[in-house]
Amino acid sequence: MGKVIGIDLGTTNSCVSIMSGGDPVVIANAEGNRTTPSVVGITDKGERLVGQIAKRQAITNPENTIYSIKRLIGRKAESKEVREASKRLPYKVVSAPNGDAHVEIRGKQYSPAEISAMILQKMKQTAEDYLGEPVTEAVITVPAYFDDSQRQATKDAGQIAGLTVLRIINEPTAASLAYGLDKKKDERIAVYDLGGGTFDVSILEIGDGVFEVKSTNGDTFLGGDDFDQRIMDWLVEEFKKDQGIDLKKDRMALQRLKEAAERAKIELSSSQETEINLPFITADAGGPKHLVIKLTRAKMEQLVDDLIQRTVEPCKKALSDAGVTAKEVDEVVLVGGMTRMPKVIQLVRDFFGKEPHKGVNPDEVVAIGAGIQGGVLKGEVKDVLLLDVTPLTLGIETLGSVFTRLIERNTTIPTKKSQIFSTAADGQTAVTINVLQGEREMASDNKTLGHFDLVGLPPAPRGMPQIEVSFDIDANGIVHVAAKDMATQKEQSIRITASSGLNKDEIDKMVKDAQAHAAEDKKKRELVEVRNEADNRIYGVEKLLAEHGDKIGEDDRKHIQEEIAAARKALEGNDLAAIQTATQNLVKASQKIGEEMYKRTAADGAGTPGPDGGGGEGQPGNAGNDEKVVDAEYTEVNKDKK
Amino acid sequence: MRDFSEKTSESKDQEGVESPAEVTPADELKTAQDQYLWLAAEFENYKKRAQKDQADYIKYANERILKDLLTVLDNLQRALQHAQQFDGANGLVQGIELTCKNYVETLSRHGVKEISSMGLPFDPAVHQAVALIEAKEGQAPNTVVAEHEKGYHLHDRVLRPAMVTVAGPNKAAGD
Ligand SMILES: Nc1ncnc2c1ncn2[C@@H]1O[C@H](COP(=O)(O)OP(=O)(O)OP(=O)(O)O)[C@@H](O)[C@H]1O
Ligand SMILES: [Mg+2]
Repeated sequence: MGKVIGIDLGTTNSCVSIMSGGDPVVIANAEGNRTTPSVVGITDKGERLVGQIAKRQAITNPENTIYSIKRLIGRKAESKEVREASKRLPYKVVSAPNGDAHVEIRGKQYSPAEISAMILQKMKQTAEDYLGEPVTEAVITVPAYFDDSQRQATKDAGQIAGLTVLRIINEPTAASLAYGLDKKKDERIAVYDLGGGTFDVSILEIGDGVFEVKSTNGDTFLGGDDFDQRIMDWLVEEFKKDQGIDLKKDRMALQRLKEAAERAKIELSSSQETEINLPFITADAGGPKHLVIKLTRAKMEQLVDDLIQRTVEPCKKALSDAGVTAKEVDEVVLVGGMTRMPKVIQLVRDFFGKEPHKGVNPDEVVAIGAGIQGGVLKGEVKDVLLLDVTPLTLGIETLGSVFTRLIERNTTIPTKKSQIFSTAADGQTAVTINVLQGEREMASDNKTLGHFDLVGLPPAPRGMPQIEVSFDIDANGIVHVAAKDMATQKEQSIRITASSGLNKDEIDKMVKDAQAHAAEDKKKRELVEVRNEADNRIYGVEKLLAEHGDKIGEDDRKHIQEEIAAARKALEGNDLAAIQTATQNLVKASQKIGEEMYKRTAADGAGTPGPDGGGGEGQPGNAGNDEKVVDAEYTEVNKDKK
Repeated sequence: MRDFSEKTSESKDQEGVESPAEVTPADELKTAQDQYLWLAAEFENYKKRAQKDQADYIKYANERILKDLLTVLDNLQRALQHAQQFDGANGLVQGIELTCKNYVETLSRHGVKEISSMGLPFDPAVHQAVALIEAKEGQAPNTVVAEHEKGYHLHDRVLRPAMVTVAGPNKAAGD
């Protein structure tokens, strides 16, 4: 039985661990380091360099040295985040035919998954050297905020590297796993992970060997890289003041500055002052220039203060989503190299009101958790179950562009949920399922993950067909959506892979603005509901009129037709009250038909009850109420494809 | 909570299989044997790895302190260079020279060896490029043309790479 390795595929550094003799161990690479820089370089001879070696030659080869690839994986080239990131990356980011962000190295395009695969291969090799046997299976971690396409791309990377990825797990969950194995009592834990490129905070509950993620929050674009950037900007500024030369335009100088900035930052975690010393940083007519600048801890803390403060909001949200206060958290766990910074530790201590747990090596704990999970899957570790949550709400678009939720955010996964929907038009033979992710009421404010059509429905009046839409999120957080026509048992499904990724901005927009826009969204939704109601009434009355119009007098018929016209007119506008009034008038007028029919049936002696003003069968009027049957916006596929 | 987690995790199909599937003593024995063999193999491998780990640990135990001591040597060498340039050779300079030599020899006894770099092709395995310049007349491209800090090996590992300036391809410098 082969070993399963656990890999923390980080933005800055990657780390691999394995269960050995019942305990997780971090494996050092050939160079003797326990973490490997997530850097890939391609030389002019086409040779691939990975890790420290790639980092060392970066300056001679900046366009062909790829770092922070995790910022691009599973994202679209046109997304704001990619454009923002590529401004700072010395290598070329291009758009693949499908819109994904790719990188171009020496005229050849590589997907971020391919680049990540090179890093994974190195981690695989590290493990194989240590074990003396081939390794084919792995558990890989991703930030809690990674959406489906980012997870999928990470999985692809594993596959390209020759690894079967048994699980993709969230980094904070892995960290808690590493932590929870030691202490198996009931506890509520906050995991604060500030790494090289991402910030995650999670609230977990541990008890009985069961891990449960109660909530997650974070910032996919906040990490040590930003701290380095701040220090770099400051150095550039100081140098400009001093020498009048702008180093920003000099790529080579920037490379050196980046390394020096990080070194200074790390140094200042243990000392109060450091000197940044970069001889021959540049040259002008007057000869070579050297950069020699002193930086104190206090000054650095001032430079990055707002970055550290930016971690507070996500902490607050995570707590409120989990429905707990800071006081109710039993233990706080620090993860990520940045949590070695004293100021960060202080903030966490102040926020949670307790001393954070630092007993674990912060940049290895995620890999250790992944290794343990590998052991769990191989049966080496018993009594540990892993439960993650989905970070955003999932649902579909229904009539009037309303977002109908199927799986709420922070639902523990794996999970499955289904609901019955129907058609919006008579004789409709196809429906489009638009799968969305987000927190807003209206479909258009959320993110489309993908869509598909279910065709070949037998023609029927609207509201009649029963279409079961089911969502299934597997343990890796990958979403499968299926739609089934109950009459014909016809089924269509997608596994959402090619979706465009959700960037941090969008997540923010969804989670934050969902609250900010709550009132406005509610109004919009109300309007849609009122419109749907009006539409249904018109439909019902017209049908009734067509079938039983001959049973009422000419005047009544004309009156009803006028009211229908009035309701249609009202529907052209967006005045909620006007639509409501017109609908009411229509209902009132249409009752005449019912009355007449009652009279007749009473006269005929038959006991069948007449329809009320609405009429129509399976009347799904009040979409959004807790009815089993809800209208879905299933327009004819060829008519309106969005 | 426990029920829920068991239902939703890997043991999903357990419910169906569990109930009537009769486990014969032969099955039990086979499982136990498998587990035993597996454990035995794992233990053997663990022993081998532990031995290797320990050997490595001893071999590289001094890595960190040796690395830190290198900066002291750097500064001693800088001082020497400066003195030689401006003060010529006097007794003190000679003394420092001997101390440096002594230092390098001591390190070498503990497995620390200098990495050559000047004039050699740039090799990221042992060189850290800190600057790239245009290759001048007579300089082969992609070679080390200046060494800012010496690099050292500790046994088979790079204790610290040499900090070097590399001559780039003939006219590919800055942009
Ligand atoms: N002693 C230290 N003091 C301050 N920062 C440190 C220290 N050691 C490492 N770091 C910083 O930690 C960051 C790397 O952390 P880590 O290895 O946990 O990130 P990662 O897992 O690669 O990133 P991510 O989790 O965002 O994908 C780098 O920015 C590094 O500079
Ligand atoms: Mg990390």
